[in-house]
Amino acid sequence: MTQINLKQVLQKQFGFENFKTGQEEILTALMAQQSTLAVLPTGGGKTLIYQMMGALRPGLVVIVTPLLSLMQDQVARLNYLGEKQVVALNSNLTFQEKQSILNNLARYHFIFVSPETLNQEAVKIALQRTMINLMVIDEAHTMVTWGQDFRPDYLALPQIHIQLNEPQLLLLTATATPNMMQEIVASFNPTAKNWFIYQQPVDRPNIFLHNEQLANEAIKKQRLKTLVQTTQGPGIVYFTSRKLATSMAEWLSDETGLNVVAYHAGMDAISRYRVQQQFMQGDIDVITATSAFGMGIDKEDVRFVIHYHLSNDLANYLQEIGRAGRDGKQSVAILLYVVGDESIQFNLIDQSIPSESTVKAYLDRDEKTQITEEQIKLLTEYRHQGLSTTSIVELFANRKKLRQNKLQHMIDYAQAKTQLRNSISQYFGNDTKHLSQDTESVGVTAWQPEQLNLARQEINGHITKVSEWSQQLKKLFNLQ
Amino acid sequence: MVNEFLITLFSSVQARRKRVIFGLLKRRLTVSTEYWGLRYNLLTYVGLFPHLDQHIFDQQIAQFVEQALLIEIGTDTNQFLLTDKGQAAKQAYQAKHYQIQYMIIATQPLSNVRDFQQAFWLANQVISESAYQNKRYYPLQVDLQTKNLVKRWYRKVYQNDIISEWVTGITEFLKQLPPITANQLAATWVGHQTPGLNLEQLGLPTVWTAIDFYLWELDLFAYWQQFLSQKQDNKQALVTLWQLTQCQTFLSPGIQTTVQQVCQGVSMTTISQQRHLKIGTVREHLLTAAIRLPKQNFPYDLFLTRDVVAYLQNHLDGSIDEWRFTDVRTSDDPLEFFLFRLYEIYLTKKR
Repeated sequence: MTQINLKQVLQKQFGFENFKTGQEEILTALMAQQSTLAVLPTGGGKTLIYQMMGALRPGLVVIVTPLLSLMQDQVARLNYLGEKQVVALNSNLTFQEKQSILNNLARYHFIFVSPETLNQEAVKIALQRTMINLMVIDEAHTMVTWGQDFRPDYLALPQIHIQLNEPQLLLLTATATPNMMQEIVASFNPTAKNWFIYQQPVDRPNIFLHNEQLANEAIKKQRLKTLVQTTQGPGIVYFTSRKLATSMAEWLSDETGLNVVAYHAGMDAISRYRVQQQFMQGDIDVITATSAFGMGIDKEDVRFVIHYHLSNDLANYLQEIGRAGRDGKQSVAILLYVVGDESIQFNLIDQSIPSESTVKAYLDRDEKTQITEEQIKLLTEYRHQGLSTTSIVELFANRKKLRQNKLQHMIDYAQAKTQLRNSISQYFGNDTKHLSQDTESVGVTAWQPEQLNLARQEINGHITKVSEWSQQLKKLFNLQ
Repeated sequence: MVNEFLITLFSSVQARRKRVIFGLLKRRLTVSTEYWGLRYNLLTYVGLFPHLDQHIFDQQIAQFVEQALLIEIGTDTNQFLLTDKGQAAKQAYQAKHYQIQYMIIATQPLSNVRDFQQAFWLANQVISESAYQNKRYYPLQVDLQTKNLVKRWYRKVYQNDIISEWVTGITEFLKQLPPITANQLAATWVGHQTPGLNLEQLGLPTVWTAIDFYLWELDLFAYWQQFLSQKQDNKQALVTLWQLTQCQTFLSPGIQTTVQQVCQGVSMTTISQQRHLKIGTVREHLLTAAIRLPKQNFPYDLFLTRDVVAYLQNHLDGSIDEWRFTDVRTSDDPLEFFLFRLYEIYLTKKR
């Protein structure tokens, strides 16, 4: 297929005039049967790539995706784009529902599946009988981050790929260092050569980077309030805990008069839907969120992303600040840091990776008191691969070191006094020569939103009011 | 989200098994779990939290014990009583939080209420978008079964005046509610350029948590369900949708048949032989039916004959919860346990 044809399809079937950067190269490689790893920024148009492959070739597009909430968003988005034959196969389905989908796979064009579900025998058998157009692994960086810590089924993906007769691969991620990319590609059948690797530079020139180090938690909290009050929204503030995201939403609403709403994975599906849609529609000024927010959100005009806590590494940080400024306009990513903030992240690492004594207690004495179910699964998977207790312990120890090391880069970034942009690009192995030097600042006094045209214009005192139900029905159903 | 709410499921006078409470909330039912659910007066809550995580549940109970709100009776009995402090905490919780009003009188399994609620949400969105001739929108992600059900329903009811018919159906119900509640409920719905409002935005009590909001919504839908069940013959689109969602029967067809046969004088042994059921299964059918049906709808007399009752009365006294089967047992015949349990159910219902 020539490039001209691709563009015609884009215009005719999808109604877009031009491809976003990288899309055309990736599609061309895919049409030439190359397995592809694409590092595209959030909002870079990943969905269109597999959606278009679905239009260009027959067969089922299988999309492996990590989060249930994300899966629902993705199905909804494809529905929104006019694709009807889309289904999510995951643990939320009843046995009958799952059977019915597996028996009728040929009816679907797109199937979203979690690694855990994909690794089930019945699912693999059904897929073996189906013509697979493309196997997409979304958020592919999770293969080398989550897989080894608490999602063992990620480790099985290369094996599953072989069991499914090696369908063509498209691995998508927004953030991967050169090491990660190498690790991901190497995990698949080494005979599957001929990889096409596409990487867009991670730098987003329209996102101004600003860091502040503050003396203590109380000062940080007040600083957050001031920033939210004075910086042009809509915005997102990230926290590590659901509890804090919720209580801060209330506090910020009370203190600033802005409409601040919390969003996290502990909310039920419809509550999440309401928040997402309110945010999309511009009803919400600021979202206080955990990292669950965003993977599926397509809001173009987010003006600021503030981190109240550190991300667990720069890859995640980049992913999260990438929600800002998708429309290409001036936006800002602000990182607030108090010395010691990193202890939350260090604790998370300790909690998620089992200690030597825990591993030994389980493997040698079958003691389950200290260990979670996921960890048991992971240990079983490693045993299955023929690893001894000693090498499993060593593996976890290395894993811990690696994650601590990645976190250290995040801490270094938070403490940096200069060169924010440079250090990120360097970390991801990008060329730093042409990076702008004056689109970053460090320190409270250095933050001048008016110079970026990011000073908040006004506060409307947004109060949501519940109107008479009869009025609501008129609006809902277009009645006069 | 369940957390503190769980304290309301315990009692200061009746020791309760945490396994039973977990099974009820999750709708993992055995005859024994249901029996204890009846004794605890908690059958209303069957299936309230289908996704409840065992680990989180256990952790919460452990925390109650640590806070001296609950005390375990004996060691490793897994039966818990509220302490004075626990009783005070329960009352304090109840005073601040939503108290269900309608689910208590509901005669339908909660899963039907939830299915209706989900189907309504999506159907309402579909009709709202169609009122604006809009086909490009993010559909609410409900479970697949509900999605297919709404698709089927829409094909069936689709016609020119579906919108006014739908609005009529909704209006009839909203008029039944206190006006403020009706305003709040309608404000939660999703439709064309209407994302719906969440708990904090509805002007509901500020101390309410996600669980109150969940119970409040579910309770109103239980009420709606009651209201619609009185309009069985109506062909209105909303009634049709409701009917489609009533998948779970109160008693399974198998249990219904057993009860009918028994009422017609067929013996348990014959039922067992005719239908290739284990005799134990037949007994379980009957106990389940006795637990779930109002007292007058179950033929207790057929089993609890004068002799049986006289014997049990003579050998048992004190609180039913303390009764032990071994005190009345005379042989290895499992029928004895059946009669013992049935008698307990009968007395519980009589009160």
